[in-house]
Amino acid sequence: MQVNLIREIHTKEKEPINVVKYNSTGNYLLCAGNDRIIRLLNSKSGAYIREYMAHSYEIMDLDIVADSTRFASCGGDRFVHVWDVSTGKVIRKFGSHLARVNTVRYNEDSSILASGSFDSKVRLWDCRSNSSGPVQVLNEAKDSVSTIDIIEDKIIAGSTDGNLRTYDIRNGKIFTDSFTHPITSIWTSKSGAFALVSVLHTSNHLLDLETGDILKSYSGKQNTNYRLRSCLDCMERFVISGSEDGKILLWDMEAGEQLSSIPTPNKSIVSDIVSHPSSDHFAATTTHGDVLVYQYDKT
Amino acid sequence: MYQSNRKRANKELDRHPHCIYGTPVHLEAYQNSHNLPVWKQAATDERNRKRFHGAFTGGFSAGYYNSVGSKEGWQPKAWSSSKTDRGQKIGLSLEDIMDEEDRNDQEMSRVYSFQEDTLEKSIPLDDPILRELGPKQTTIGEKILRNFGWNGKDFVVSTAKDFYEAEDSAKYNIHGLGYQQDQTINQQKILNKDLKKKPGNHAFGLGVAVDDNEEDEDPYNLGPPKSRFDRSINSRKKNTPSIPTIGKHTFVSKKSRLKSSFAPSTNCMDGLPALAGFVVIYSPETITNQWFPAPEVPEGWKSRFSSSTNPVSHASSFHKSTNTSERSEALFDSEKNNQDNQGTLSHTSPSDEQEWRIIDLDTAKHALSRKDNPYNDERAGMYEIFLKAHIQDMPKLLTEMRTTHLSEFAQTASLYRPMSRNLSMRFTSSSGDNPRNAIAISETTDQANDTSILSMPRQISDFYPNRLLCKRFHVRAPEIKHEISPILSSERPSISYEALPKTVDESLSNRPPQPKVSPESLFNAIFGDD
Repeated sequence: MQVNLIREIHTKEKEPINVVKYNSTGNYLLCAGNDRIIRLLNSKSGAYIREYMAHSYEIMDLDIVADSTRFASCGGDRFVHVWDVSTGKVIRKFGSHLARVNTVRYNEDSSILASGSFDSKVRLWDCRSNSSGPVQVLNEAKDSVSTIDIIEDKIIAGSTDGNLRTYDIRNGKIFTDSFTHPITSIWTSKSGAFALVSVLHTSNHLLDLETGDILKSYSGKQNTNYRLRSCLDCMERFVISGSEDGKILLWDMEAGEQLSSIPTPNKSIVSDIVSHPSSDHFAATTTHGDVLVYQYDKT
Repeated sequence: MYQSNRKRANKELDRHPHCIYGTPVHLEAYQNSHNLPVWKQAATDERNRKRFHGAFTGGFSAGYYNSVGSKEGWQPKAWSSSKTDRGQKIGLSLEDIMDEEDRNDQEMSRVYSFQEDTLEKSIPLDDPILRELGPKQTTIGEKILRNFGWNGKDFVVSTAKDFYEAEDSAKYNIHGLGYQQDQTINQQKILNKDLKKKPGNHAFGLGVAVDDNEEDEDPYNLGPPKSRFDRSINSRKKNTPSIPTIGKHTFVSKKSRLKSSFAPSTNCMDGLPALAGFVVIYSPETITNQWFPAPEVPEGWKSRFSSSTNPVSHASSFHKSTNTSERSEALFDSEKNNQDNQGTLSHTSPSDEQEWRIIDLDTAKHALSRKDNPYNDERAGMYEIFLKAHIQDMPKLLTEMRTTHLSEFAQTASLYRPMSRNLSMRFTSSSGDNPRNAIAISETTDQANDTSILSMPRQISDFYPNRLLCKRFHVRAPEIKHEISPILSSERPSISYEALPKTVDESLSNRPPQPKVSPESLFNAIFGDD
């Protein structure tokens, strides 16, 4: 298993970057962090395209609309900002969370924006109408909501109370899977049948979303303090995750064995890892303010 | 004590006859200036300059009368060259900045202290010779005490003897210590005997028509002649015996009194003879501090409770142990042993123990370890009792609870698990009933502490998506059946989802059919005669 660092982008401030996302085509990278600036980069060349500045507190999450014309950001200022990519202006601002917003996610249509906050609520915002309040508030979590994903007609919210709640809108049901450790992030497969769940412990788990069984566990990471995200590659053969000992770890998804462990340039902790939607790259951001683009090669 | 007042100048006393204690106040200072002419009432400071400037009287003279600056106004100091004066310290001293008021404040707050000789301070007051030799200045406290009549040397502390009567060791009465019964009732009784009985006064309470005030009620009436009253309250006190006898009265009917021969000999507690028809039955001699034998224990009876295993031994091991782990062993091991003994003594087999339980012990422990109670109404207390009963093995506590509550609590207890990872790692969930978890366990490697990934199997509950939300997701609003769900009943919405009309037309059609009323009958109903 060959993993090569092909691009390194450094920020001046060296503040931790909390989130990095590819757009739907994979040509652009959006990253944001504690320096309150959202940066748009060209993923191939690593070139800096533009900055988006409006947040007064750290930025925790981003999500880009499918047609890449808008994106949403959220953070410590308790608001969810919706930006226009080309003009760089904030189109909308949703706010009724009582605490830092940890995660945002659009649905497929980008008509609903879901945000999860430290105040343990998931608020669902309507992007089509002009209403200022949420369409619905999901109260079931007992602790901070750390991650949300939306697939088809299900909203999946993971919380630090250890519970992964799948809200099935079509059937009007909530499926609660209780993990023994706080959940930090979730990455659902393209089919929606299973999901990679990162917990605040030494392993990530693959959860069968239909039955609630654990299909596989991938151990070896160190994770007790920070939200470290993990992802599946575009072909869903590997699990990639960061670790608090300054390494990036790769596992074989089906076998569960660790394939590779790559140290980051200055042993900094990788807070977010995201795989390219179509090719065999992945981008990782560190707490040192670097964006690292890797290419992997299963020979 | 009043002699000291004579020392005070008689002139003062004459002027202030009302003042018995303390120093009289000079009232002139408090009299206000209502009688003064206007020009005398103006406020001036100590140099008789007018305090309020012209703005108060209608003119404009701001600044000057407040004595800032000079008559000409705030003219800045003329510039002076400091070429030759370089190097000299030009600074403002504190005196330059302060004005009249500040200086007054400074004077007032100045503290004058005496240079006291330490030797003089240490002279005790009780030695008369040294006291004479020492300094004459007295403290305020001493001055005040002398005003009250203190002789300057004695401090008498009254003993308890002064306040309490001598009590005997045994107390045969029911009142408190030091109680002195009020004697007026006895005096009144004697008075009553003396008085001739008036003819029965049946009308107590005046009639409505009778007006009280119109009768010759002389407000200057002196009242009944004073000779009738006692001059002092406790005049009869000498007659009461020092050792009060217990006088308990029992009613003795006339018949029995005539029959039997008891002599109503003794007097009651207050020294008066017993009331007519009553006999005093208790006397101090009859009451003894007697111990009655304990009831006999029938043969073969076994106690349900074990006496704690020799508390001395475990206490000694506790004290002997040197570190915390040993001590905890000494403490908790013995506790555990006691519990085990209790279990065996109560003759319950393990299957019996489990039978009455609705949730298992681990679940109960987990649920109780969470400090917050999921209920905030009256069920909160019951839920706690439910959990504690399970932990402490007391099924009797649950007998009063309704089965609906019990099943609800069981669901809640399984839902509300401890959140802390450490706690959940210490207890393992009961195995054997969940094959899913077994798979999960076998998958994990090298994790000595981590025994399971999922703390419980998947739970399914109801979700009521908003109609707009369904619309956005292009999904028809789900019809939710009301199955027995583990969600707390307080969370369940009070309106059933499918009962809500989906569209406006539906709501209209749902209205109950109006009773057909003919216009004529309606008219009559409103305007017609009844």
